[in-house]
Amino acid sequence: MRVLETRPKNAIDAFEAISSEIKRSRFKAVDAASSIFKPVYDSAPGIETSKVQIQLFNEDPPEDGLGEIPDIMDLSNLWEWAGVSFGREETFMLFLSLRKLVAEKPLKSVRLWGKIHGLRGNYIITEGELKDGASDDDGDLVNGTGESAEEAEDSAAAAAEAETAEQVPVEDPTLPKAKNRVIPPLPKESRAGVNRYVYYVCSYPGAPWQRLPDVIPEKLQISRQIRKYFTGDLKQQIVSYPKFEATEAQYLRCQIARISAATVASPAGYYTFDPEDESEEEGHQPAIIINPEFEGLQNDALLQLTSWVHHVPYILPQGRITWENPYASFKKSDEDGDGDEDEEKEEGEGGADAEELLAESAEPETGPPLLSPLANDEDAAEGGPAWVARACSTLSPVKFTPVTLRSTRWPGAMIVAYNDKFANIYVGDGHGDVGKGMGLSDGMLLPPVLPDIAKEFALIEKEENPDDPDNPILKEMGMIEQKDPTVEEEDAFEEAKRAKEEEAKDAAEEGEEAAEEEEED
Amino acid sequence: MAVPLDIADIPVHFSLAGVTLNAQERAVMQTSLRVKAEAEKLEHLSFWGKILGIQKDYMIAQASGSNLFDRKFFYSVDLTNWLQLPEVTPEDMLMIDKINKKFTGDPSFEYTLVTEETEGEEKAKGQSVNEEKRLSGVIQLMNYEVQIVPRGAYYRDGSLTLQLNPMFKGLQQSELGELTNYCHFREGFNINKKTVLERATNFDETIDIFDSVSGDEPRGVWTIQAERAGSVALLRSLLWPGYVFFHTPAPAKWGGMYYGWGLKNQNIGFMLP
Repeated sequence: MRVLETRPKNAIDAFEAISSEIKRSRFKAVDAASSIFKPVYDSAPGIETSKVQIQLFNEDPPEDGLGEIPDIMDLSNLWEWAGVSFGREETFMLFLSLRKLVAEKPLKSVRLWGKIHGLRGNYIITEGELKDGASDDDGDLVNGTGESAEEAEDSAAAAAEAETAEQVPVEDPTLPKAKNRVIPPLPKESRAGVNRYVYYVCSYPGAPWQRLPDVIPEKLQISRQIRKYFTGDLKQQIVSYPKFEATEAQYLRCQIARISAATVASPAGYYTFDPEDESEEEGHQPAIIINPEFEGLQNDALLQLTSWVHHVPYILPQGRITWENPYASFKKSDEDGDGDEDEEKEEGEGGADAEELLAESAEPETGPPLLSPLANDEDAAEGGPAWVARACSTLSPVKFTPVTLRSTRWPGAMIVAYNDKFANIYVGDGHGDVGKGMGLSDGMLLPPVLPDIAKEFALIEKEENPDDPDNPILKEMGMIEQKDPTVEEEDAFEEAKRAKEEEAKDAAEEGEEAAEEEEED
Repeated sequence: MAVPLDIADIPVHFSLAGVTLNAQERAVMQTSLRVKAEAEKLEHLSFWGKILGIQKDYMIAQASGSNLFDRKFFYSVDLTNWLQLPEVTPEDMLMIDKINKKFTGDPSFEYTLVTEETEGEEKAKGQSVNEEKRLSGVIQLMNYEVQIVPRGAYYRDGSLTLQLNPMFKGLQQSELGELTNYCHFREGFNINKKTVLERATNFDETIDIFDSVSGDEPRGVWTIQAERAGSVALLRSLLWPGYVFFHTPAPAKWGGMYYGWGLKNQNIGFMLP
């Protein structure tokens, strides 16, 4: 149009300029100076995912001798009967991904634990058992307490700085020592108890597996009191009341431990107590092994809750499987510190005795023993059974249909079994029902009451006197601001002071005179 | 007529959310729903969802006539025999909203609600509602609060009748992941509540006939995720955990399904980050 209207002399050049201007806006130049254009190509969304996933297929099948992996293609048929599915293609990719995991990590065996849905991303969770003696310490990278996660990300300099800060505890001998000692954190169980298995998560089949940190007992205690959706980002800080003070990775790990302890079960007889394990220590968890003589139960037996047992031990309220005296260190530290710090001993005598008493009187927590049947499980908070058993197919005889057990306390947790095969799986948002102590009767969450605000000073309270209009306030209590004295008041005060002093002087002089008189007598 | 949920889509798309129906359920319902539709002189009867119970689970199906919001619901505990759900009065609805227990699986089970007024002198006046009615009420609640469709899938024609949009080809790839492009499939949209600014940008009176879910309170009550390398959008409701909606543009398909215990999440305020 412009070319037609203005009729410039070099019409073709002008047209070319306009044309390339338009092209530039729609297409990308091969290089800045060139006049050859190619269409702008936006890479398809999700291409990153595909690029990660294609690596799964480009790998050679690994050699033998790796850790055991479950045949999830086979198990997925069972799950489908129970109404759980990850999608066929996804399950296959997951299978390859599991194979990759055992090839990379020193794992004896793995089990697909389940999937937890988050707000922005999901977690596919695998439970692994490390080979004897092997360790996999990369858990600290995504570790629980937040600080360490940040440290890992920060430069080494920052970490070093933090270390030096820790190493130089400022101790001023003139300062009095704090009397109430802090209860030291409970030791976390390592490679045993709650942390017997290690857990790896990824957000989609084929994504790199990330190891979850080990359970910290204190965090597990708090995780029982909070309910927070998972975001899908392991480094997300949990903001909650009571304070969790750790990343989502730790929270996820705590929830996995709780769900496992509550819902992972096997047919009675599949596991048996290890006859070689004869340790009779107090609170010792007996070891269990797979019973080689177990032949599987009939389907109609599997429908009974009494024929299913928990093979994951109960987690004590403390957050551990074996009980640990939280005050144990008090006893020890007193014995150690006896000789060199007499002063402290004198001061802290009363306190230390009480603490020692605490240490001795602490009652070990107990829970249901290992391999106790599901039928003994506590009822759901609202009443009703903790488990619901179904035959998956109502049309075929019970003999030929898989059987499913659904947990009502942890919606999403289920067990599927078909004769000698069984599988535990969890698909849900990672939260159970609201426990009895935690909410109102109808499942409403009631967070713990906030503690009272610390008292700073009493507010002014006035006692009023309605009968006397001249003097309406009888007295004021509490903290009252003092008035600044006026100049007159100060003068009067000085005067009174001087008068007092003079009086005292006079009295003294008189006394002296009197004494002198007495002497003279 | 509303787009019926194709039972064959369930294992393909809802497995992204981890749930599916097994082969028996799919096979029986594909047949029994057709037979029931014929017997009831309904154009189509489509699967709505599964509500789990303690003793038995309920399968729910829906049918709609020429008015898309005038729907009938049917339930079945054995997959083959379908029974129509009763109408629910507003008084019953108030009660149903207060019950927060798992379904028992027995349609004649009576829920007795001890309200605060009855706790004192009028104790004999304890109201009750049976499970069949509660089922119907919960479905109505869910339809109102979480049933959604993609923007543009329906339009109002010249006589303002709601019609399925035959020209709808699915959302653009760039629109898939945005909550603003998913709307509540319910009546009561009021154009006058929209600000001028909202109406000025990308607003089309013929297709913007529903409330968008992006305005739902509390914020974050929906999660939206791209699955299968971004080709499927998956929405999950956190208010009614178990409601899942998928949409894929090529070929344009969408559908929502409920699979869960039929309980509303009352603690959502504590759970959102």
